[in-house]
Amino acid sequence: MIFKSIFLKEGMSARTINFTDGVNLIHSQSNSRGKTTLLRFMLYGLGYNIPDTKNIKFDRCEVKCTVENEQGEFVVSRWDTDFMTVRFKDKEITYMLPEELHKFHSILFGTENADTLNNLLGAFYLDQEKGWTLLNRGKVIGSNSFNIEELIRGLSERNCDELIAQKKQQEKELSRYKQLFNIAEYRNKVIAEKGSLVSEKAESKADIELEMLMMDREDLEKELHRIESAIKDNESIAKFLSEMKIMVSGPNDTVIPVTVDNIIGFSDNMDYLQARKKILRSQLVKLTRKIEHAHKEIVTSDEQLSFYKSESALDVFDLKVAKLPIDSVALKKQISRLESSLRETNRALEVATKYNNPIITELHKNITRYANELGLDEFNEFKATYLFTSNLKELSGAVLHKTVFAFRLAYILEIQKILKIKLPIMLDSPSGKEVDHENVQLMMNILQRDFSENQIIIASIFEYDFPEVNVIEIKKCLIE
Amino acid sequence: MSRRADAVSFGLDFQVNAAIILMIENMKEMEYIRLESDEEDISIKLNSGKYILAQAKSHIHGSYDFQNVRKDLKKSLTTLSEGAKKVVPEKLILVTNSANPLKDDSQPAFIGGGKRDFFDLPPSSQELITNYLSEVSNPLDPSLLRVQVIPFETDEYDERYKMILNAIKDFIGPIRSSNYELPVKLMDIWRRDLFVNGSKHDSKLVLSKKDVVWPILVIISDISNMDDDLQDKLDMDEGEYEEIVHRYRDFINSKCEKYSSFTKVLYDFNNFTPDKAIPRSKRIHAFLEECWGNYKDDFRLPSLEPELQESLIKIILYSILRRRVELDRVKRAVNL
Repeated sequence: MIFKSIFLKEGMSARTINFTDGVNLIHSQSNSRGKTTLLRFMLYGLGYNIPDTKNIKFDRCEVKCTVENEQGEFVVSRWDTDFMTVRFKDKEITYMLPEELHKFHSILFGTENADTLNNLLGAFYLDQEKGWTLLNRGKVIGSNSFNIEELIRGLSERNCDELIAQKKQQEKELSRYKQLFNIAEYRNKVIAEKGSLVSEKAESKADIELEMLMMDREDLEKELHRIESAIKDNESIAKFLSEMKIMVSGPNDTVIPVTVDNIIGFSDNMDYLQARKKILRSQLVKLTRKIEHAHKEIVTSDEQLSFYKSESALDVFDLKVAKLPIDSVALKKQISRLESSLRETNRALEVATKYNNPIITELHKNITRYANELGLDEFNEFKATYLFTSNLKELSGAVLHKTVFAFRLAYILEIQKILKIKLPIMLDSPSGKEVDHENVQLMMNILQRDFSENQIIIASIFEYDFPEVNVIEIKKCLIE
Repeated sequence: MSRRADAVSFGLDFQVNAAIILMIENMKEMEYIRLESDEEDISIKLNSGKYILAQAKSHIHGSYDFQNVRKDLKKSLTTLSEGAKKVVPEKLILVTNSANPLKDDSQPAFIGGGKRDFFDLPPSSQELITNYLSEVSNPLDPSLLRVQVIPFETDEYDERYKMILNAIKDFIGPIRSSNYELPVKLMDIWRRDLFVNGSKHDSKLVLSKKDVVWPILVIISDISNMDDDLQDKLDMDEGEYEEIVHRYRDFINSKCEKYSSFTKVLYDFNNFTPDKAIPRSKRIHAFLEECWGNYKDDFRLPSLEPELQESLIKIILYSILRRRVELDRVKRAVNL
């Protein structure tokens, strides 16, 4: 896929920018002119949710972005953050965003796999802020994330939706239990410090009474529901019988129509149920009144207690916490049970993602190759498991910058090979602060050699040594 | 609470409880009852089309304070006479908690309650009433007049409601005497229903005999009220019985309440011919023993251990049949 052009309009100002198939350099003499904004407009033009920049609000602009892939040319228009329209081969389709973004991207990138589509941006776009530190997991830009495991699962068509849902559920529960555990610990501390005052309150008679009343109400409501359902069932039988118009023979050749009135026990049972319903309803009203009263009494006694015994909202809070029926020991057990289940889910997910997966071998091979070429000695004995590392602290400065570059190029190669497409490569400020000219040149050499068929878009205040470069110059601001 | 408000709520309470007693006394012939009707404080329509009208007069210290009784008597005779013009009266009653409702020292006071028709009153009382009636235009027919005294005093629950409770106990005695909670439960329900009825503005809204009688059936056929009886009949181990009834109460009740289940049981029971000749009272027991297996599919609870399955089915069958028997008995007793 390549960008052909982009039309930008903000208020009365507008600008059209054309791109070439090869290397495009978005250039300005100094910083803060709009290079990053242009890159973000291009992504916005593809339908991504992109945060506004300091000077430009996307939803106040009109963007028309023309892109092309093997199937033809797509003209994407966005006036709003919530939808976009795409003109393709004389047809115009509107996509709601973000819900229908994958629909459009599946045509553009040639895959319907959500895991792959979710992670394409993190492969081909390097943001100037976070992009050069994003190796295998994290935020690409705004709400768009990258996850290497997800990309690998997507490219190898390994579906782990159930395991992922299970993992999310377990993580959610674990986090809630941990919070509850903290409260339980706090409660224990409060009871230990304040002693009998709060513990007596914790088991106050009024609380127990209220709890019992609530249980009674629950039982009554259940019973009432059951009676109402029985009445409904019986009524539908009555309706059925009257509609069937059944007749039976009586003595002396008489004919008796079957109705609910002459079915033995039917009316009696309905009368019984109605009477029971009435009694239950009135019991429920009585009980609800009692509950309201008990509630009021508890609130009043709490207020009185806080008035006499406590002086601050913190004390009142402590009293309330002390009353919570939570057991830290039981919670701890539950937490360790959940942690162990989560570990098992993670293991299952790891096996499902990584076991016998040729994509990992390929990524490993390409990263090693580029790392060596970029002079990263750390990668001489680089193992495939490092692809999934969470430890980025050991990498810093230029090493991290080049490592990220090597990883991203490897992702692009693998995606292109499997999806049989070409991705654009968008680099925002590749000449990081700590990367010298020599290293930047090494990076550009790789692009020139291995990615000559890709559209390359670089935003920078520097110039680079490419045989043919389409320079898009931004003078004072992007839309002049 | 002010004395006035106190007297008003006391009066209302007496009116409701007096209505219960009059309702019980006339249950067999009653079509409906209404408090605060167009005709009187309490109005009972009978199946014959005639009415029993009652004027309720209460006194907080009814056993010894007779200061206002004559004034009340005079007023009652006036309103009863007016009520009698609107309908065909069967009986016109002054119902009160005063032990000396006519303040007539020549007659023995109504200590402990009681009722006297006009011609059973002492001549001095008759004379007093006749004199009062002579001041009323179109006065009531004295032969229809009754003075009825219901002791109703103090704030002590047991003391205040003892006559009402006794009346309820006497009434339900022939129906079912073993349920000791029934009178109190029934009194609470009736008091509430009558109170609500009296507070409704539309005087056409009445409490029919059905409205009054069905709560009795609801209480006596509740599975938890049948406990002892049922356990003995089914010859079950106490623990087993408790477990089934308490754990599966909802399931049992829902089977008893749904037409689709109970009709099958009643039909089968009506056509049931025991293997050997047995007395009528043993018929249900024989039915349970011989036929419970036929309901394995209808009343099966998959979560229940197989050995408890038989007991559960028998409890359901018994509850359905028992409810039917109770129902017929109560309906017969009150002529419903």
